[in-house]
Order: sequence, then structure tokens, then C-alpha cells
Amino acid sequence: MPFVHELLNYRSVAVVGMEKNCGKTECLNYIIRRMPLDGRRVCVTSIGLDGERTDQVTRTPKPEIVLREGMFFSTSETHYRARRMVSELVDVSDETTVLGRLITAKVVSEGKVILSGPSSTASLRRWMDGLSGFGIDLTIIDGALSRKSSASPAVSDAMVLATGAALSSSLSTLVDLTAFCVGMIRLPLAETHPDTARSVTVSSMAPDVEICEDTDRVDVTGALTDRLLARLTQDGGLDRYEVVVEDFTRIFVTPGQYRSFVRAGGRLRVRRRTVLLAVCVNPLAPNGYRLDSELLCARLSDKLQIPVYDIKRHEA
Amino acid sequence: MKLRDIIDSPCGLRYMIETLPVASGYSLRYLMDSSSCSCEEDVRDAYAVLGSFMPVASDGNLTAMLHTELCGLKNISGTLDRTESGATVDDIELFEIKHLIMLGRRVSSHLSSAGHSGLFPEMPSLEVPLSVLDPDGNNIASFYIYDSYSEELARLRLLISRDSNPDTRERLMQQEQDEESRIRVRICDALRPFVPELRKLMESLAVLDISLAKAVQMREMGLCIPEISSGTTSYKDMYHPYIKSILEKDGKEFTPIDVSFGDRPVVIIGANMGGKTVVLKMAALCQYLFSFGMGIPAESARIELKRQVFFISGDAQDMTAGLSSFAAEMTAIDSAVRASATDGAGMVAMIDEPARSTNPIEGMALVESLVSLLGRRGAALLLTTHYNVSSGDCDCRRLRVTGIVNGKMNYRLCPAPDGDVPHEALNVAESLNISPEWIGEAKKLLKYE
Repeated sequence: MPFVHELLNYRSVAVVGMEKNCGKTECLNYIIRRMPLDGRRVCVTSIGLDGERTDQVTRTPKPEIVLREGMFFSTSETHYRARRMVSELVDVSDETTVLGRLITAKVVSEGKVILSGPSSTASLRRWMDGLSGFGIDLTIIDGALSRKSSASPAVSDAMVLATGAALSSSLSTLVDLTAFCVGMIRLPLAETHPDTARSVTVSSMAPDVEICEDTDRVDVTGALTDRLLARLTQDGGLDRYEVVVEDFTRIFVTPGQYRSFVRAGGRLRVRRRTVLLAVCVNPLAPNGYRLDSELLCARLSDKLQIPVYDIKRHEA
Repeated sequence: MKLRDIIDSPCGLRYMIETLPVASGYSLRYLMDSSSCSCEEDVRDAYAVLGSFMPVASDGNLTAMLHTELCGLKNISGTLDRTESGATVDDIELFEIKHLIMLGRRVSSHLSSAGHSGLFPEMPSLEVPLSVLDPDGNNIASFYIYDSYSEELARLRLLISRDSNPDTRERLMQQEQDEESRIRVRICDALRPFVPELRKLMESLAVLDISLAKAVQMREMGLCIPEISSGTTSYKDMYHPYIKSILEKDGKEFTPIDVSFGDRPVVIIGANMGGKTVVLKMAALCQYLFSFGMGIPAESARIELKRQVFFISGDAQDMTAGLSSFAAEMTAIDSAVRASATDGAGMVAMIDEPARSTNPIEGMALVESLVSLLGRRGAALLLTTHYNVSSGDCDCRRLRVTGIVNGKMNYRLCPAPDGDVPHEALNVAESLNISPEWIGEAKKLLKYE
């Protein structure tokens, strides 16, 4: 599969699931298995807790993270002690998680581990900066619990999105929801420059800001919510300015609200973009329902115009 | 007194500690928990160490290298305590111990290759624990239970890597874990006798970090090493680093001050906004810095070590204690008066405008009696006031801020012969653009016009 090679063009790649049980860990393991190492230093970490053997919420069996010899990984003290591999400890960070300090180690012989990384993008960023001394070429971040924040361009340069029947057992709903998410990831960069634009700043906490006739840019700090977008849509005059958010991880709007915004002439833009490398699907829902993998992949790649893979099927 | 207890003194000590370029958080906590020097010998030693670090501080490369290394210094007391108590520590804790020893070795080697080996002697006794934690002699600061610890471990690991049957693999892994545990017990037994040495190493590294930071700060801020004096304390061109840095940001200049006190009480009189309080702040700051063996912000200084330092400044109104500003101030000053009863010669007091919030007749009586009493008891006293305290009545030296000379404020201190106190409040108020009708009426009352 070509996309694993593409990962090597980036310093950091996040693997993010749209929902729990979308096959994100499968996808991560697939990447780890196929990654051509050739002396490259690859480090795998997670944001929050991941790699549990059974899902903490739905109690369904989950694949463990299997790391190859020579790879680096980071996890919390608690999970480092529980690892089932031989690994050489190289760093104990001051960065702490609820499960203890963050440990970075190098795999001596292949084995399994539970990954639990820094719990916020800021501490993840700090940890990645601290790692520079080890000459890491690529950091793969396992984004946990449908938390898309690890895919923020503030942390990772590129991302792989995992979606699946866990999101919806209706094929067309699944395709629509995924397409909406991908649409947000691919939002274009802001056209106006913050220094030259006649801009105003709004936030979901303080949405009542006067937008003048000549405003050509509305900067949103923090999250863009349905309420804020609804307010902008109602006020009208959307064709005069662009609405700019930091990046797609700050967007928390429903497809319906976004459609009304666009119909009213609204343009949503981002300050920073991330690269979407591929979409992986898991046609099996935790309740046992299975979608037609081939049809799902075809419909998705047709709609998204991006490679879509069912990893299980590829491996078989 | 511990640094932690006095750091928030309004003299600006916190700024000096926060600008200390200490590399490790552990070192900073170590410094905060350290006590001030209790005798001249300690002060002399502290400044001798600071002086010996000055050549290192002027070597930018070496300082940067040491700083980077010392950033990795961590407090592993918990791990050391556990090891000492007979517990078997895990890989993470063994890594910490190895990391500490290797850090010590690297620091020592940086210093000795730059010709400063005397500053941090090598610890030959730590070669043994290091060899325990680095059986292959890799000399890399990483750790795991290496294959070379036991043949059995190497054999099991080889079998595991060749076995693809999950069941037998699981069994072999269990055996491997058991063997690892046995090895850990052996390692801890071997390390246990060295725990006191390891603790010493950790503390020496923190002390080195602090000494280096003091030397770097001294170089960067242009501080001086003071002479140790007995009887008087005197400063030449003393300045306040924080106020100086703020003024410099605005393109202004700080006027350094010469002052000496300790033989007789010194009373500073003079106009408002003349920098009287700043003189007290500087003197208190220097006294604290001196007792912790830090660089002194002055061209030169001769300082007497005092067991107790009282800096009483500003509006001491303590709402939480339900005290008015007068009550809070009187209570604070009283603590100095009571201390002087038992150890007058061992204390220094810097008191800013005492009794200013009461009527001038009683206020003046309170100030004069305070100066006389503390003077008689041999306390070093530096006091500011607007009251006309006479030098004869309470045997003190009067100084005043030079004041406005040729339209410019001269902050330097000069002797103030007995007589009236400077009448500059109205001039200063005018320069502040205070309503002329108000100042005008005040002038009329004083029959200026």
C-alpha cells in the first residue's frame, strides 16, 4: 500500500479515529508492520490512553500495539512496567500523565505495549521537542478516543483518518459523516492576511461582536460551535468576509449548520492546514454488524477523491 | 533563616532568585530549602566557591555544556530511599540511578578537560555501581536488564525470538520475567552500599548548578563579591537590579548610591520621590544576598553578617489579621525592638518611614525613641523619615537625598546637618502636575508667597 511510504515524507503523522472502534489501532499496527525502517528512527506515541487489550468503554477485544525492534516509543510509567517486550529505557521525562511520568524507550526485541502519551497537545508538543536529541525521523501519534486534537497541525504535519461502521451502520450516513469530516480537514487556507485584513475577533464564549460593513475577515479564537456559526449565518452579510479558525480540530459544527452557513454564502477558512494521507475503514461495528467493505471503500474514495483502504481485507 | 521564608520580602529578593540561571528544578528547590550562612566562616567559604566559579562562568561554551547536562539533574531521593530500605527497584528507577552517575561523570569530565577539575572532584567509588548498571561498558545513558546479566536470560530471550507458538512463547516470556526479577534483586543488593555516595553526588550536582548560576548571574549583572566586615556595612555605587532593569527598558538611568551604616543609626531624610525607600530596599536586598553568598549589586561592598534582618516597609496594613496600618506597622517594628533586647549587635533593621500614619508630635517621639533605643542596643539601623529627627538627641547620623539640582533629581545621599528637614513636598507635587489651586492654597498657608 503506497500510503505507508508517504508517511516517511513527514516528521510527524497522527492516526485519528472518527469514533471509537473505527479500526484506528488496526491501522496503526498496519503502518508499524509495513513501515520500512532502513535505519530510520521512528517513534510511536499516543495522546491520552491507548493500546488497551479490551476497549475500556465497549469491552470489545482490541488489538494491542506491536512494536518492532529498533523503534522508539513513549508511554507512561504504569504502562512501561506492564510492557511485554525487551526495551531499553532512554529517557524519563518531567512531563507527567495520570499514569505517571512519560518514559521513552527503544525496542530491543519485538513485543507488545500499551501506549499512553501526554494528555494534551501542548505537552505532546513539548515532549516531541524534548525528543529531538534522539534523532527521531518520524513520530507517529496514536490519537485516542476520537480525539482529533492530536491531528492538529500544531502537533503533526500529516494524518491518517480511520472511519468505520462504529460511526454508523448506514453506509450512506457513514459516507456523509466521513465526507464532512474530510471536508473540514481540507478547508482552504485563509485568503486574507491577518496583518492587512480588516478583521474582527469573535469566540464562542463572547459571540456578540459588531461586524462592520467593511470587515473582510472574522477570526474565531478557540472552538467554532454551532451556536456561533448560527449567529453569523443569521446576521447575514456572509459574502463580505471569510470566517477563519486556527485549524480543523477547532471546528465543532454539525453538517446541517455548516450547510446553512455555506448556502448563505459563508466561507470557512483555516490558518493552518494538515495533510490527509489516507482514509482507512473498518466495516465491522462493535455490535457485530458488518458493511460491505468493497462497496464502502468504493463509495468513500469516489466521494472523497482520496485513497480509502480496508486494512483487514488488504492484509488477508 | 531559609531562603523559602524570605523570598517574598518586598526588597526584591525574588527577582534575584528568579533571574538565577539554575538548570535543574531540583537545584532550585534545594536552594530554596537552604539556610543562610550563620557565621563569617560560612560566608567566606561561600564567596570563595563563587569566586572559583567565575572563570567557568566566563567560558560561554563550558557554561552552556554544563547547563545542558545539569538540566537532566532530577531529585531521585525516593528511589535512593527505596533502594536503601531494602526494596527492589524497577527498571525506571535503575535508569534514574545510572543516569545520575553518568551525569556526574560527564559534568566532572567537562570540568576537568577545561582545567577546572578542583570544582567537582571525580567520585572513584561510583565506578562500582556504574559497572553494575552498565555491564557491557557501553557508556550510554540508557538501561534495561541486559542479556549479559545472566546466561539464562540470554538463552530465554533467544528462545523467545525464535518461537512462534503463542503458548510456549507466553511461557518462555514468564520465565524471562522471573529471571529479570532475580537479576534486579542482585543489582539492588550491589547498589545498596553506595546509596549514601549517590545521595551525596545528587546534592553536589545541585550545589554545583547553584554555584555556577550565581557566578553567571554575577557576570551578567555586574555584581561584586563583598568584603566581610565587622562593625560597619558600606556600599559604593549600590543599585537595585530590578528597578535598574525597568528604568533601562524605558531608556532611563539608575543613579547608584553610596551608603554606610552599622556604627551608628543612620536616618535618611529628604523629599518625597527622592528614592529613600529604594535605598532601604537595596540595603535589605544586599544583606540577604550576602547571607546566601550571592553577588552584591554594587561597585564594591563591605558587609557585616547579621543573624537577623528586619526590613519593614510600606503600608503594612494587614486586613487578614484585622489590624490597621498603624497597628500592623507598630507590631512589625516591635518585633525588631524585642529582638534587639537580646541580640542588638546581631541584627540589622531597615525601617521605612515609621509612625508616618499618626500625628506628627507623637510620631516624631516614637521615631526618636526608636532610633535611640536601637542605637543604644548596638543594632545596625537604617531608617527613613520626614520627621526632623535631630542627630544630637538620639546619637545618629543624618543623611538626605541631594534633591533637585539644576532642575534634575539627584538621588545620591549627602550628610544633612541638624536643622530643618527639606521642604520639597510642594515642589515635587507641582512637578507631578497636581491641581495648582490646591498647591497654591497650601503655599498660602505656609506663607510662601
